[in-house]
Amino acid sequence: MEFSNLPHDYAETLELVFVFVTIFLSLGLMVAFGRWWQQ
Amino acid sequence: MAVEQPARPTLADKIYDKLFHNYIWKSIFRTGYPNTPRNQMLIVATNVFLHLHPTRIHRTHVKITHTYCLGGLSFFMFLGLTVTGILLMFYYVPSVDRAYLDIQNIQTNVQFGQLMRNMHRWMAHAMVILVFLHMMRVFYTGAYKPPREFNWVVGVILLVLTFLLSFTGYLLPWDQLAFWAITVGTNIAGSAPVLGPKTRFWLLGGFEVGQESLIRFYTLHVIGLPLLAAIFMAVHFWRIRRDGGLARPL
Repeated sequence: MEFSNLPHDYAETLELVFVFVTIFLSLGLMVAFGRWWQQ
Repeated sequence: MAVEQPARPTLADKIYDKLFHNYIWKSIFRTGYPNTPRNQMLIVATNVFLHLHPTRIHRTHVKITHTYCLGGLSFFMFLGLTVTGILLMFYYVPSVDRAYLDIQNIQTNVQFGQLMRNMHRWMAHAMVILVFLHMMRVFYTGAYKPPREFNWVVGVILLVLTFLLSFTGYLLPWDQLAFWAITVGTNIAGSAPVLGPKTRFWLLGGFEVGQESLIRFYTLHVIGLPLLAAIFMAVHFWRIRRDGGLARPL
């Protein structure tokens, strides 16, 4: 094993923003679909 | 005058009684065969496949603070992890020569690769946290008590599966952190009395972390454990309805 650590802290703020926006966006889409489905 | 005595139970009757009329069996299978019109209607009205949302709920369940939707959010994380995981599988080969380079490739060359990897990582963290919080909510509201004791056991199995999924995914980047984390983790398993060394060997597929361990962890991570988790989740969700919906204050 001579491989150094891959970045694990993801300190880049923009990266985190993208990740969380995508997670919440997909959650929002699912909730919206659920509401439509229940009508 | 002869008094008619009730028939003495045969051995078969006793075995049947032991098997089906006990606490464990009745906690899993609530009702018997639906042999009355009322029971038959109840089967339809409470069927989770016919009515994904319950036909009626208690008014305390309307508030989101009743459950904080923690179980649902955990499931959402599982779905997200499945989607991002499948996308990552297109670019990742579980070989000691390629694994590390493949992850670097995903991070630098693949379109949206870095986003997919980061999503997978953060959703994995979130799932562990949410599952734990969900367990706490169930515990502190007493929702594990009868008649929901069987579902609590299923939930505990799901918690262990979540931890195992997290643990097996840790080795896959094949960097120093992964290597030593799995070395330490499997050494802990190996320090258990009697079965420890065997368990360690079984986990690693050898005496130290190597190609056999990587393919073992990969296979468990992408198919074995998710499949088991999906089966137990299906039972878990279906079971909520069978046990009379969400727990509520008495």
